[in-house]
Amino acid sequence: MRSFDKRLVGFSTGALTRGDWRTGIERCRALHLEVIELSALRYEEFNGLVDGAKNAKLSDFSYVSIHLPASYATEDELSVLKGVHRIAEMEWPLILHPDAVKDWAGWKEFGSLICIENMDKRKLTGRTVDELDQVFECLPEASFCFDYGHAKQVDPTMSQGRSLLERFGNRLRQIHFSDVDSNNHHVSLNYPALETFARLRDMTVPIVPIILETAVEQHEAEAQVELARQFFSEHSPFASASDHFLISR
Amino acid sequence: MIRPDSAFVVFGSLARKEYTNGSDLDWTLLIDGQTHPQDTKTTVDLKALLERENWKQPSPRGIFGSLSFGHSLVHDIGGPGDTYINTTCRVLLLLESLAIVGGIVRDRVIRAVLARYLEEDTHFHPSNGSRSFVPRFLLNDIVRYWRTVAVDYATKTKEHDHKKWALRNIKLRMSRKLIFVSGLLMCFLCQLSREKIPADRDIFGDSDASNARFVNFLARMIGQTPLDLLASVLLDRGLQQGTGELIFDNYDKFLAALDDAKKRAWLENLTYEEAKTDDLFNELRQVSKNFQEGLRRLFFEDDSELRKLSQVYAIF
Repeated sequence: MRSFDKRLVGFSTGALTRGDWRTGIERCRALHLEVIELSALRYEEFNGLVDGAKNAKLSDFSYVSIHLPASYATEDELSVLKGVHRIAEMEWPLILHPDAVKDWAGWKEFGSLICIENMDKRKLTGRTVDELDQVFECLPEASFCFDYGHAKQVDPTMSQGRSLLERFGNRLRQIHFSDVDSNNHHVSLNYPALETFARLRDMTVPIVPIILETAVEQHEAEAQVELARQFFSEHSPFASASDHFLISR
Repeated sequence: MIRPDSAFVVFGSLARKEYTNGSDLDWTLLIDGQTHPQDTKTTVDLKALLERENWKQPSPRGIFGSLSFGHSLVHDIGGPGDTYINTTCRVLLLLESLAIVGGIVRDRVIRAVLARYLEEDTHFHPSNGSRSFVPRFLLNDIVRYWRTVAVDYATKTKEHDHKKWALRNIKLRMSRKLIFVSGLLMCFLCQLSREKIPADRDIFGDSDASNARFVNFLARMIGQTPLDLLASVLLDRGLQQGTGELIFDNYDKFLAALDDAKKRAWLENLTYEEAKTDDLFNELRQVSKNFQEGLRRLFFEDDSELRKLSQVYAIF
C-alpha cells in the first residue's frame, strides 16, 4: 500500500514574490515549507540568483531546486551555461524548459541535474511524449519535472499526461502543481482542476516533491498548500477510482 | 495567420495520403478555446491563399472551407445540436484528418471526443467482468456516419443535377467505404488487441485511469492512415493473401484511375445512360465489387473473431 501522508509541498519563489527570490525564501519559511524552488524564470534574474543562492541559508529546506530561465537569446546561452556550471556543485535539480535550449551539446554534462519540464500548449516542443522523446534523446540522463497544469492545458482528458508519466515516470524528480488557464497564466488550485488532476493521482510516487507555481498573496498561499496536501493525502476528497482500488487492495 | 488554440486541419485524400491529380482540398479552421472575430477573416485569407497556390477548393455550399469548433464537436454528440455538419466534422476528424498547423489542438479535440464516447460507454459495464471491449457509442457514431454518407449520396446527386454522379458513386464504393472500414476495425481492435492496451490491472474498472489508457490506445490508431490500419490488421492477424490482394490491388486501381486526368474528367461528365455501356465506369464498378469481396472475406470469412464481432456489432 502506498502512503500519501508525507507529501513534500513547497512554493516557487517566483510565484510568491516575483523577481525577488530572497523575499520568496522568507515567505516559504514563514509557511513552514520543507521544499522550495528558487525561480529565475527571467534571464535577467539568473546570474544574481546563482551567486546569491550558493551562500543563502537554506539548510532548513530538505529539498531545493532552481528554475532556469524560460527563454533567452541565442547569444546568451553561453552565459546561462556558465551560471549552471557555478550552481551545479550544489547538486540541486535544475528545472529547464526544453524550448529555451538552443544547442543541447552544452547541457549534456549536467546529467540528471537537468530536470526537463513538460510544456504548455503555446510552445512548439516538449508537450507530448513524442516531443519529449526527442528531448531525452539529446539529454539521455536528464530527469523529469511533471507539470500538471501544462498537461491539463494540452489535453484536459489527461490521457496525454498519463502517457508522459508512463513513459518518463522513472525519471520523475519534481512536480509542478497549479492550474493553467487558457491564456497560459498559472492560477490558483481550484476544485474543477483538482478533479481533472485526480485522473493521474495514482501515477506519482509519494517521495517526489511538489512545487506550487500559483501566483498568490501570502494569506492565500497557506490555503493553496493545504489544498495540495489534501489532494495527495491518503483520504483525499479527490481520490480517483484507481486510488480506491489501490487503497482497498 | 493561424492563432494559438486553432488548427488548420485537412480531411479527405490528403489526410489519407492518397492525394491525386484533381483531388480537392477539404479543410477546416478548427477553434478550440477562445474564439476571435478575426477567425472568420482568417478563413477568407486561407481560401485566397489556397486559390493562389492552385489548390482545388471544396464546394462553397459544403461542410469544408470554414470554421469548426471543438466545443460543438465534443459536447454535441447526438441530440439536436449534432447537425450533419457537426457529425461529419467530428467523425472525419477521427477517421481521416491531418493538422497542417496546430497539431496539438487537433490532438486535444480528438482526445476529448474519444473521452466523451468512452465516458458514456462506461456507465453500462456489467460487474461480472463479462464486459466487451468494443466502444459501442463510438462504433454507433461511425456506423451512423457511414449510413448518412450513403443516403446523402442520393441527395447530393439530385442537388448537383446529376453532375459528377459517377465519380461520387465510385468514391462512395471505395474511399468512403474505406474510412468506414477503418473506423469499424478501430473499434474491433479494442477487443481483439486488448492485451496491447497498457494496464496495471483490468482496464475496465470504470476509472478515469482506464479511460485515459483507452483514449491513448485509440489515439495511436487514429494516428495511422486508413490504409495503414487496414494493412496492419491483415498482417497482424495473418489473413489470407488473396484477401489482401483483393483489397489493396483494387484500391490501387481506383487511385490510379482518379490520378488520371482524362479518366477523371470522363467520369465527371458521364450520364446515367452512357454509364450502362461505358468501359471505364464498368471497369471501376468491377474494381469496387472486388474490393467489397475482399472486405467481405476480411470481416466474415477469414477470421473467426472478426466474423463474430461483425455479426454482433456491425448490424444490430
